[in-house]
Amino acid sequence: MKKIRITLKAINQVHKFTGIAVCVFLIHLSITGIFLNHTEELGLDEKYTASPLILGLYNISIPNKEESFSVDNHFISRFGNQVFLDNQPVFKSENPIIGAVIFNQMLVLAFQKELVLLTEEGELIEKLTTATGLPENIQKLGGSDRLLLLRASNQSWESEDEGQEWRGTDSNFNEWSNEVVMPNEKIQQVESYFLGKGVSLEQFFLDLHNGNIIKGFGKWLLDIIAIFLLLISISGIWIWLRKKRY
Amino acid sequence: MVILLASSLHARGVYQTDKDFLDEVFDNAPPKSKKIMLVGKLRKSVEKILEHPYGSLRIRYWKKDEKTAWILEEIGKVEPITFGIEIKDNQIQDIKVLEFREIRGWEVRYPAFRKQFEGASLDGMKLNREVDGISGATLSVWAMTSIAELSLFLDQYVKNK
Repeated sequence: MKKIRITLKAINQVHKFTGIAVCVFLIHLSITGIFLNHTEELGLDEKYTASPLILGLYNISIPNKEESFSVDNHFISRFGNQVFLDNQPVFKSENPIIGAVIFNQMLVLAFQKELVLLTEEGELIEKLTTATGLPENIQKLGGSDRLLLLRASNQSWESEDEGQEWRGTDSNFNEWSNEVVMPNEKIQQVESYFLGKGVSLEQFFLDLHNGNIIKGFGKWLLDIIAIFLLLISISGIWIWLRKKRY
Repeated sequence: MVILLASSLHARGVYQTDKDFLDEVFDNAPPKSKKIMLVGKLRKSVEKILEHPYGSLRIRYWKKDEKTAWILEEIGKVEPITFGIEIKDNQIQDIKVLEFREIRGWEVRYPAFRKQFEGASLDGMKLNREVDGISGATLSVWAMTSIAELSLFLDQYVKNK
């Protein structure tokens, strides 16, 4: 059996290449380690980031704004499938909001197949569907002092009793509820619902340091670096001992 | 994995529309709906049955002769499940899942499971029988049981009103 001889040259090569491979990670570990060592002095536990790039690493994202309506002093909007009254989440809907009006001190929201009645505080009163006599295929919603009006299946409908009963009408009502542009300030208020405070810098540096920032693979990458560090230490001691002998 | 995911997504959706459910219960001639406002003592009783407030302030029902029909929602794990319940002579005739929005627990819609509720009535505020669970659908089973109890309670409430 052939005897394998480990030469000083081979060990030198291993030492050199593992050194190059781990030096970037050593710099990374050192810097993040220093930050973590001084978390309190730097106030990292009290500082938060809402950078889309960093939030993306934590799978935190803001759904797209779909529709927005202005009713009285309120904004009704839908982000993803979440419907908001101002910045308060009220219920979920995968269907677009068609219109929103205030009627008898209630907020009325129209969807293609249902009307949703809310209190002005955003509490759900009821959802009305075709089973309760709502016309099918709602296209527009409007409201006057005493009537709720719908355009549905290419016909106009009106109701005097909060949408409980509907009758066809020839009314030439044309003040239908229309989408409005939501001010940036209002959009940001809703977005804060999804983001919360963001991610604390302490958490971010900790996850950078221990590799958790890369989900799944990061932990194993750090394990590989740890093995490289062991290898570089062992090879360094070996080289030192061999050189000492000569 | 792909097959499992596909089957979960497939399970979400509308199994029966409200209108079709009512047509079925009342032989295509459903009566006009009536409503109950959940206020005061009634609201507290409903909260006691569900162990949390009901999702809306108003509940609608349909009544013809001795039969009532209810369309109620209860959260499974995170999303509401829409149930349709038919009650006659203080007993559940049928309970159905009309719309399911969760990704797990849809097995409660199977007739073999729903059969356990047929003929069930209230004993106090609870069902007069034990309902066997389904592994992996515990929360949906709890939701269906709570809604069965709630509908029976509301049925008694509207009859005694």
